[in-house]
Amino acid sequence: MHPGGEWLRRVPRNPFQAGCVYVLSHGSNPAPGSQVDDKQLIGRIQAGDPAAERQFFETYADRIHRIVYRFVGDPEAAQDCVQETFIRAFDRLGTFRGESALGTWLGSIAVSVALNALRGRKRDEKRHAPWEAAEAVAAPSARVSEPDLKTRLHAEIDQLPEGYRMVFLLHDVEGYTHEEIGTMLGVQSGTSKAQLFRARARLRDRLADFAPEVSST
Amino acid sequence: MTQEGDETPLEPRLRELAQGYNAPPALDHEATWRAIEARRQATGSQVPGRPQVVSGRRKARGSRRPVMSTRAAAWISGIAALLIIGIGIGRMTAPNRGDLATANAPVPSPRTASTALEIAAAQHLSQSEAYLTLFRASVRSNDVDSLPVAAARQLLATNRLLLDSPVADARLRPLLLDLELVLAEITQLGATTRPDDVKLITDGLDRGDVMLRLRVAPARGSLPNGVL
Repeated sequence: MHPGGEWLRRVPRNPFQAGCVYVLSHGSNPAPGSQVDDKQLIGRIQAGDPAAERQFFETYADRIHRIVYRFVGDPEAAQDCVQETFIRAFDRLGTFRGESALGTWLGSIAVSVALNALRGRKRDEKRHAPWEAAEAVAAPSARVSEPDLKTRLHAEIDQLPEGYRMVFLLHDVEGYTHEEIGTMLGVQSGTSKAQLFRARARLRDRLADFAPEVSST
Repeated sequence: MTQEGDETPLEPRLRELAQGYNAPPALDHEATWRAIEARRQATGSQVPGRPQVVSGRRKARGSRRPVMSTRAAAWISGIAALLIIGIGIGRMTAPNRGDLATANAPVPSPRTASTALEIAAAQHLSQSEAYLTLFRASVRSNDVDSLPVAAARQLLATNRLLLDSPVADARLRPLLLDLELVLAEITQLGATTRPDDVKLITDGLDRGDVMLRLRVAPARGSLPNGVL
């Protein structure tokens, strides 16, 4: 399940690829219960059907937006990433061979786009880091209040190495399988599992102060 | 390697709180789709494998899709190449270069060089007019952010080359100078575009009658039919 309220179930009906027919059990786009046949959809897009292009976008826009927003955490940057993802997808649709589900293929583009956006932002942040550090030194009183578990967790997720963070967000927050994550990140599913294990271990370690609260529910 | 089955699942409390990490707001589908369409138009993006006959479809969408964008990339590359050739020929045939020119080198006639430059100038003006039309349309639809600024940079570079060439005579030079200012302002538009910046540009276009002058520019009128 995708925590945004979207259940994505694959129905092995299409010979193009096992599991390439999606049934969205609920969610806003497309309409509940609608089916999207990847192969037919791609064929229609390549034939120049504008409605198919729009359908492709409507089918996957929310999923892509969720992924990139989790990574970049900024509305404008996420919006840019969604646009870039679909533009690249339309450009490269002819290269899609059906080795993975269309949504996963699109997700791999989204991950790549979001990573580029993040790296660009990190470069910008590095340029400003000396000033921020100076401000922190100049105003230590701003740090007096103790953060709660939620604040600390989010800060610790921010501090995870890029690979850990991506796998953690895709698996534990967005609900993708290791196979899907492996395809999106271009790694083996075992690598995804290992990264997730380490991400969780690191978070537990860093949040040890909150152990009673964490295990209370 | 850790097996998925061996993993200790994330504690429910952490999982619940993690959902709030960079929690995505609702996506504005309509605005996003419009932006994607505009960007694809600007870059001439097309789905690989799509037959060219889809131009009929694009024609049907004509009211929404500016003509300039579909050929922008090809035109800009063509203009750049043509300009380089034209200016190269112009410089080779310019006076007071006797010491540099080799006696045996084939030298194009001044008329050939002049025609090449006129063609380049005419194409540049036509392209600029189309781009500025796109700019105006973007302003009207409040969608300036999706404007292809890279194309403005290309046009600006071409404009500067033309300003330095013999084609920038007394009749064409004022227009190229006004155009340079407008294009330079457009290239400064970024993600944080302010309405005042856009208004400044549109006011500049109106005050100088840039669009009208582009349409009736002398460089465009002197060309034979079919050049543009």
